[in-house]
Amino acid sequence: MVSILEDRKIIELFFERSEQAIIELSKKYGSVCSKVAFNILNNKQDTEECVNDAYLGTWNTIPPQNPNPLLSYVCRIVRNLAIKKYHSNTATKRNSIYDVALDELEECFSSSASVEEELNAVETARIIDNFLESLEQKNRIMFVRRYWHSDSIDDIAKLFHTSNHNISVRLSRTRKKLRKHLIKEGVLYEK
Amino acid sequence: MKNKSISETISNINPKYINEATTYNTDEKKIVYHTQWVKFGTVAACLAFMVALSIMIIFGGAEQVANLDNGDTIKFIKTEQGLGESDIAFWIETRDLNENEIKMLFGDLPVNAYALFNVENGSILGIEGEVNGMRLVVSGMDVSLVDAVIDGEENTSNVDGVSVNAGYFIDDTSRGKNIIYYATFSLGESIVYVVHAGTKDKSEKVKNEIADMILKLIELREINLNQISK
Repeated sequence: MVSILEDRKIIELFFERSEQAIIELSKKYGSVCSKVAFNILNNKQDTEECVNDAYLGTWNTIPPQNPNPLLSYVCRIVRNLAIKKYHSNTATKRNSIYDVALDELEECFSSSASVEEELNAVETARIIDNFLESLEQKNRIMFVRRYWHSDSIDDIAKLFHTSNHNISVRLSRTRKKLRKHLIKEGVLYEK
Repeated sequence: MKNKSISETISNINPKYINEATTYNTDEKKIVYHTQWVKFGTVAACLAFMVALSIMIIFGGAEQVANLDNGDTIKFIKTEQGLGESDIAFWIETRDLNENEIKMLFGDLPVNAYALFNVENGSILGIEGEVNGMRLVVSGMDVSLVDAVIDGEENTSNVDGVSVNAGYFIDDTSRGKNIIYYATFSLGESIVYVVHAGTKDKSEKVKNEIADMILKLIELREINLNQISK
């Protein structure tokens, strides 16, 4: 039987500079990390490299970082590295779920006149945080799974035991709400 | 905003939402419904359902008509937003319906569904599932799983003696421009809600499929949820 360590124990291993930390991290969150990377890169080899780089990044930042929760910390590193690799790989064709999800959001963010350039990504993210907080939990999770994790509609439908149509409709409604929120908060001007 | 900026913005959302989404597992929640809730009786939760809310916000008088095999027609009225959502504050348990129960309620229709029960008194709240790729929700009259109101004769169609409130809307932010058709109607002591979606270029096909299904459901004459026990 494979034993899974608690996050706290894994972080202790990082602090002790024990290489077992990487093994335990991979054992516990390897599959989640791989999925996040693969959704963006759509390539097994790139995914593997990206996840390994993320483990190294985690090793280099803990300590001094002491993240809680550990999972989202590692996933963020994976996602950032995957996006970086995606953009640097000029040979990459636009065929990943990441592209499709971003295209959906681009329509949501589009505006004939906007002040978006004046707000940096962090400021806009705080505005989106407020929006996410206002959502019912299921819709929030669907949104994050689609646009942060770049999960496919099919995967999200399976997660929620429902149809693809149901997920598409819910996401569509959430995007419309987000657009209204962004206009209300001055990120976008109404056409 | 360009895709790269959007991606960067989304990357910076609060980690608590990432963690929430990453660790979410409905299978675990279902186990909790069946065991922990009953055992401890202290955990309250709510379940979200797709419902039709204040439908029939007509603009432009746009409507689409589907002709049925029995000679009746269904008017689908264009709405600004056809689907809403509601939190149902019941303590619930769920279980899949077996083949006999499906047959008893829906005859030969290829329904896959699960039933929802009120934990406190064991009564059935409704059924949620799919039929031929369409979403199907059935609830009792006194349960607002489907919060639809048939609000005005001009918006209803008469199908085999049953008033059907039907609409559609265009999801113009989606890839491929999806169109979503939906309808609600009463059958015996139950309220039925059905929704079907597809790409806009196949709207005629999608509309006819949901119209046919509405007629088949109406031909059941009633869906007696009281036949299902916990």
